[in-house]
Amino acid sequence: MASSLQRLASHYRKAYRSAITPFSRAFSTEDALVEAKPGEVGLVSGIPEEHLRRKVLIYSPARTASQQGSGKVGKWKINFMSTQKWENPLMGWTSTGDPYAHVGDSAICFDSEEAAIAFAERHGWEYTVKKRQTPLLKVKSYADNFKWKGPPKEN
Amino acid sequence: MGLGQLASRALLRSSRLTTATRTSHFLRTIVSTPELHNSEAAAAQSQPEPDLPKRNPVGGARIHFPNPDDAIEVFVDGYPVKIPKGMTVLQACEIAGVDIPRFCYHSRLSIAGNCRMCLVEVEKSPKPVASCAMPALPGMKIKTDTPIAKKAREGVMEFLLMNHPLDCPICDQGGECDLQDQSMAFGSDRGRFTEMKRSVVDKNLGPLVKTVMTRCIQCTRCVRFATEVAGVQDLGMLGRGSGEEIGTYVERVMESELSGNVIDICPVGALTSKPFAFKARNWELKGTESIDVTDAVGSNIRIDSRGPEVMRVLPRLNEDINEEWISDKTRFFYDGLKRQRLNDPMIRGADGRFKTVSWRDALAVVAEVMHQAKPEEIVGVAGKLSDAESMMALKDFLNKMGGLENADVFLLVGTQPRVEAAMVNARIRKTVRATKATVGYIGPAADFNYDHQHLGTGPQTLIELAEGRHPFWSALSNAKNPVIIVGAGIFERKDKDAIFSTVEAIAKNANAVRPDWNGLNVLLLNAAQTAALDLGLVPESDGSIESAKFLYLMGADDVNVEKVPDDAFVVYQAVPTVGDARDDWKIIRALSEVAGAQLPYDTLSAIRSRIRTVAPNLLHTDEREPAAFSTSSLRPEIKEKMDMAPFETAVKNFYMTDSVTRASKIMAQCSALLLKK
Amino acid sequence: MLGHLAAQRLREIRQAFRQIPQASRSFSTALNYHLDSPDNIVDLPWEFTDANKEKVKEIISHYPSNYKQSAVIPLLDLAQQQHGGWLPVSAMNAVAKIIEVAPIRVYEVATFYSMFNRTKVGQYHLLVCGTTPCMIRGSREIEDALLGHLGVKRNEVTKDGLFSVGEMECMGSCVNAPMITVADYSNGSEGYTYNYYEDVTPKRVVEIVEALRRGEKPLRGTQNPKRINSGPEGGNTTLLSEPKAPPCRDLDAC
Repeated sequence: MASSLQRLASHYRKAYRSAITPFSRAFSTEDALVEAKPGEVGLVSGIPEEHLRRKVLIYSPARTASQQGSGKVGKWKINFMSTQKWENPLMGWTSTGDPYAHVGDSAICFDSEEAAIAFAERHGWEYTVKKRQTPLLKVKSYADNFKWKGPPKEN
Repeated sequence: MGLGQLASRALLRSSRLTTATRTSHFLRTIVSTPELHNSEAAAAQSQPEPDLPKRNPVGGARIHFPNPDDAIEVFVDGYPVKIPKGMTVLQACEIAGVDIPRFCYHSRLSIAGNCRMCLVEVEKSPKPVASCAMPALPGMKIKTDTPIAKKAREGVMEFLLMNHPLDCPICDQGGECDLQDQSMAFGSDRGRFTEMKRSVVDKNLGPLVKTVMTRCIQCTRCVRFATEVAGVQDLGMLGRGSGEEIGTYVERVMESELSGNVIDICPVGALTSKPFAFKARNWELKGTESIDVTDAVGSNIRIDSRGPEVMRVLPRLNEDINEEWISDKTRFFYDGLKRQRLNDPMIRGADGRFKTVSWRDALAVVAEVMHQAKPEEIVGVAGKLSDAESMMALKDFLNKMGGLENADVFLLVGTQPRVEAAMVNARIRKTVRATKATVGYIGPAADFNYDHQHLGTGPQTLIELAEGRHPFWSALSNAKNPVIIVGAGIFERKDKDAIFSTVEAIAKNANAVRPDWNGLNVLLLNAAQTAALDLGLVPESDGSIESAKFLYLMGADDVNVEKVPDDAFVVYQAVPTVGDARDDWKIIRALSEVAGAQLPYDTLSAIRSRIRTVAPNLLHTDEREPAAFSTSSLRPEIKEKMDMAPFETAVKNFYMTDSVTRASKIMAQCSALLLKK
Repeated sequence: MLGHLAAQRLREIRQAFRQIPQASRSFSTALNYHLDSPDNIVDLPWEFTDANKEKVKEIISHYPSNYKQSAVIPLLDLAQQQHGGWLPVSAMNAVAKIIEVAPIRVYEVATFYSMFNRTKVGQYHLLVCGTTPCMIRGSREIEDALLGHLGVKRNEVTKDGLFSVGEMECMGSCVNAPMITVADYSNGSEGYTYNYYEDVTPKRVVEIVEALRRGEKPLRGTQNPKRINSGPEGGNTTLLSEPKAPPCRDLDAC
């Protein structure tokens, strides 16, 4: 279901990528004149000192148990493990003291584990990678419902 | 079956109609597809392209090949895939990366084949084929994207939506509903049904599962789950035809410790979570993947929160531990996190009342008292939820439970897995159902949901088994892969060493521990106990508390308070939560500084590196670990004589095992309603 | 054009709404869930009679001991005969116990088959066939005549507990349509009969009911005196001569 949509989307993404490649090439790491060392990207982007060394968790979100669609499965995300969260006493809204609190889950998304690791390395984050859990397909048969139970037990 | 026949009939009719003259009467026929039966067009479409892009199985699935020689090749939309013999067409499509829509099919339940949503076209088959029930045959050419397949799905969807109410805006499943998703992807924008929709009386399934039976599409997933996985045959399909409904016939609540899973497997909003009803929409929630701490299984869960508040807990796939199920305690204990919590430090004054103080004052008082007490008078008690490292590094003991599903004989010693670790129980049940494994049980009379032999109630039976005198011994000694599970209750006994050595002897005689098979397992009650054993904390009896002058209770809520001497100074540290509460480790670290014995860690990562040196396996969360202990190193000598008193039940109330679950209103409701016996 | 279509659609919708009372035809005698009533309580003890216990043993012996659940339908039928034509929950529970399955598996079967009555029926349960051939031949009138004569609604028992009228799908007597079936539970499972009365007329069914009330046993089968079983009215009209011998072989020669 979702896979057909996903395929469609990836098709567009490819088209989009090929359109922007000429512009983005100048910034890609392979062809860059100056190679960015791990952690330098954060430094030059003007990220505050205290957020340059973050501990992050790289993980692949599991499928929601109540939904069958696999469109969102297989992505890799970065979780900043921010716990500074409180209810604002004025309006009851949720406040956070961490500018990265929502970045990982709502903004950054990678197609592969390697891409996520590379991104974290470039920003100099200390990362842990959580193993992705995948389903195991086993042989199943409709005929099992009517399988012979064996001879009657002798008493 | 009926749906499928109707669908194909509708299909034939509409194709006939399109060739006939079209009048305004047929304005509402859905799509005109004159090319529908044009096989040339379809064949041209499915011609394998010169370079086929690599397709990955849906969800990154791994394929279990029982016998590599039995691989067959089928073509899914022209793409060749190798699959094990006996797999269904639907599974073949999944391996080829095509997600077939389905409602009744669930990978962990038996195949019913009644929703008909998974219809695909198979070359040389006169009708669309229900892919979930059809075994794939060598060389089969499956087409999932052809006009016939699309039309068939659209037809089935129209039938399913005939009696499904359009109440998505007030339905809790809205936004994460399979019917919603699939009708968007495969359904039509209109239907031809003009009659009244049927309505069905709601059922009362207890305090956890809310039913809106009118929304039910009769996929029977819940019936199959209750029968096959949960082992409570309460639900059934009643009536026939358009009056068919899911129910219990005689009103009764679902008395299963896994009943919450029917909420997940229900593809529509017929079964939803009662505690979560109308609390939040799923798109407002932020999921944090975590590990369950309410028992020692270490089920993989996702905690959904809105802002600072935990809204619900969902299972997360892990084939080795909990598959895709979690127990009701895991799923619904979360409201206990919000109630009866210690948010600020408090000191009991001379008047016996607790007074809120600042952290600085509290730590100073504790440090002063601690200096006055002699070292042997200082007793620390770690509680069930004070985890090795702030809830993150939870080590699941099931990690060590290798291959329960390959076992052929189980021996349960003083453990009732159904209440102590519901997921382990589900695994044993699955094995018993699938392979007719025998289960022997030693302990007090208990509730099992599979066939078992009650061998005895106490150590006497163990001795008989160890000496090979017991009738069950023949089953155990002839077993290829015997599994012995020792309950946590054993460790509370005075003669635990003697019992454990007897169990070891049995394991040795039965050849349960070999290089390729570890069949001796200890089923602990909670995750912290597991972690504590790994870190080298030994459970002590209440005796040491009696002589204590300074008692440090770290999240320990089950200490017998009456045994604490009157002149003792008691520090109680609760599980961290919101407000001005601090993480466990931070408090201890601060206290160490005030007391003048500073601990060498300032950050979480420093603690973790310390843990890494003490017990490295604790840091591998949600992965299964190979067995870390060998039998010889466990307890070499027997000091005490064995006590012949029968084993006791370790968990009296499944729903309330620690301070958080005891604070939970939902758990209180469950134990009041479901445990009255 | 659009207005015309809208008006037509509106008419259709009205039509749909008007049909509701008729549309709620139920084939089964009860709801698909159990409600406690004085004579139908879950905990009410229910057991097969000693004579029927022998029959139960006989029925169970037809199946392998690990396929006992195959006996569910014959046992339910036996229980229904014993209990005056209907199955209380406690009877279903008793059957579940005998065949060693969860009660819900028996409830599923009993709710599926419309010949298992889950509410009280009369000693004579009259079932009117309502399927197309009978309907064309006037089964609606037959039912109206029965209901009118007995003064009850469908699936309702008369005050004296003697009669109830239900509807049944095709019983295979289409050649003698319309027909009714009389399930006679007045003598327990020993004297239980299940008779077809075919070629009935509104007048004839009332006569049958009255005969049953008097304790008589009206002759079953076709009620048209000019027909023999399913034969044509007034005697055969075809195949009147001696059948011709097969052309290829001389039968007298052997």
